[in-house]
Amino acid sequence: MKALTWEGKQKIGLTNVRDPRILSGGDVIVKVTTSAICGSDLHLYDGYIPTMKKGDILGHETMGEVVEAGPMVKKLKVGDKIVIPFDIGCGKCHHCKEEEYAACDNSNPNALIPDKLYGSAGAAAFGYSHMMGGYAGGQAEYIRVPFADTNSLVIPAGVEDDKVLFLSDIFPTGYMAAENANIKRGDTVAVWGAGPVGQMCIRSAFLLGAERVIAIDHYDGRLRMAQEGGAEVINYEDVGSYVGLVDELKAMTGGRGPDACIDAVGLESHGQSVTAGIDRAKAAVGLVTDRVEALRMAIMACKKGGTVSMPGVYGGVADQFPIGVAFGKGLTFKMGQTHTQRYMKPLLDLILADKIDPSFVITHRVSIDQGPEAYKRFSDDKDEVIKVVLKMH
Amino acid sequence: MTQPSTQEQTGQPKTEAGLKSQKAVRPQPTNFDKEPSKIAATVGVPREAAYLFFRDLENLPSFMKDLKSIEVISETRSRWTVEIKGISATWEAEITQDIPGEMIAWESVEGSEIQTQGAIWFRTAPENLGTILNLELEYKVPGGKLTELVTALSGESPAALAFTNLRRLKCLLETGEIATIEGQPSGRDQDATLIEKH
Repeated sequence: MKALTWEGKQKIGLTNVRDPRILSGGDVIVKVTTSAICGSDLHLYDGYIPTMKKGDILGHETMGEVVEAGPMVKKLKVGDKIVIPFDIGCGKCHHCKEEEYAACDNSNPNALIPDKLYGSAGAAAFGYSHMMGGYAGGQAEYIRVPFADTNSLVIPAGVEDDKVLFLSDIFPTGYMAAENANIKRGDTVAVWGAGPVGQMCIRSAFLLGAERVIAIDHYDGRLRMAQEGGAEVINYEDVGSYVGLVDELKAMTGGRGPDACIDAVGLESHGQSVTAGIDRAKAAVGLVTDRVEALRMAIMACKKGGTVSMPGVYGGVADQFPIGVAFGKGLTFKMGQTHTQRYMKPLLDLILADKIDPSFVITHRVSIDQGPEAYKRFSDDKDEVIKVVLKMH
Repeated sequence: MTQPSTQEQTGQPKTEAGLKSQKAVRPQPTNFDKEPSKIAATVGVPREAAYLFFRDLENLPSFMKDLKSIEVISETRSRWTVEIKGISATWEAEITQDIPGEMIAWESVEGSEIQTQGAIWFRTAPENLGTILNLELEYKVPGGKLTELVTALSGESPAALAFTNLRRLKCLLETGEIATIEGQPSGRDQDATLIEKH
């Protein structure tokens, strides 16, 4: 089968590999119909995530049709159309039973690495480094899904792929970020990063009762899409990325600051301040891994007693973290990988009830053969390219 | 004026929940020959079930890496075979301590070509969390032709092997499977071909 493989920093291969097969009783094999390139795939592309190996199959936003099921699979059958969550839960450990799937104890066969690095290992994920389990991803014609009863959502017949594909990651991620922001009716929510996750945060914040959402980015194309979703927008290059932006946000909120701030940027944050420059220099020579300028601004702008929610991916250590500001204002922080499986069904119901159609975020549709080129375009042209989906068959 | 209840309030929690959870975490029997290993996992099955699964030594190869087989010879004696990269070794082990529901310790018999010992401890976890397992595995490098095998067997360290095997045991007991990626395709396979690269 054809698959997109990681071949080193900023190198993506289109590779012919063996088809996957059932390796354990709870597995299914899925013929992939549609897959997407995620903003977090660009962290891999740019070499920010350790423990990738040349030849690893990428992709963690995947859907398709079950073509084979292992003997322990109970809920799925051949022919079912399913969406596959990006993170892998076993469904049986204490955390999975509590619906904390991203904290699954059992799915990561390489748990020793994160156990040493982070103190304990979270769930594995598809196509996202050997530290995260090393599972082959879904930017391929077929994918093997372990613990498949837990890691699937059956889609009713007749629903088009593009409407439900993002239940695999970015819609639950944006929704959980908005939920983590403790939004109360009438609140103003600021969202850093108007990429695909940021766009889902904006829509989700409104669904959860926010009165105003303010989107912050420096790509006009992305800000236009945010505006179409009802957000007010700030291009931080127009106001200055630190003091200027904080002043602007306070001016827009009666001097209080936003009630909640969502950092949908993560570890490759841009920005123009001195600390952002230091981050870039240190990251370039390997002294820090995570550039946290957006997070710093969110902390600085947030109202006293407010909440900072962090769906953006972080992987290592950060510098110049304004802990005194956070303490002084008594902020609450919520963060972490998305418990995708918890959100898939309720969010499917919202889609089927026409409350939201997440396909608005798609700007490009290409075939798998055009995958390597699509990575490059996604990386180079963030203004025009917001979300790329890959059609597999 | 002192409140008569002050002393009680500053003591240990007296609520039912408090007493329960204290009892659950209190170290259980102390008649072990040695202290439990620090390699621990909490497994969501009852203590008796975890003990019985492990005590049937023929179950061990289903989760212990590179352990090919265990043949039970008698109540306390068993024959272990490991195989790594085509090299294999066999030794006999004797159970040296067996406290039903609490711990099992074993070691290779004198004169074995590989000297190894191990122990597992079982304690009831707090609330509904199941059983706390502590696992210790030791492989002594005897020198000579088997050194390479033993090094491969223990990986980075005996502690790393115990950690990995304990996680695999937990996964098997909780899910009936062991999470794996062995056998999945990748671009590193010999038969993989790169069509193009950007």
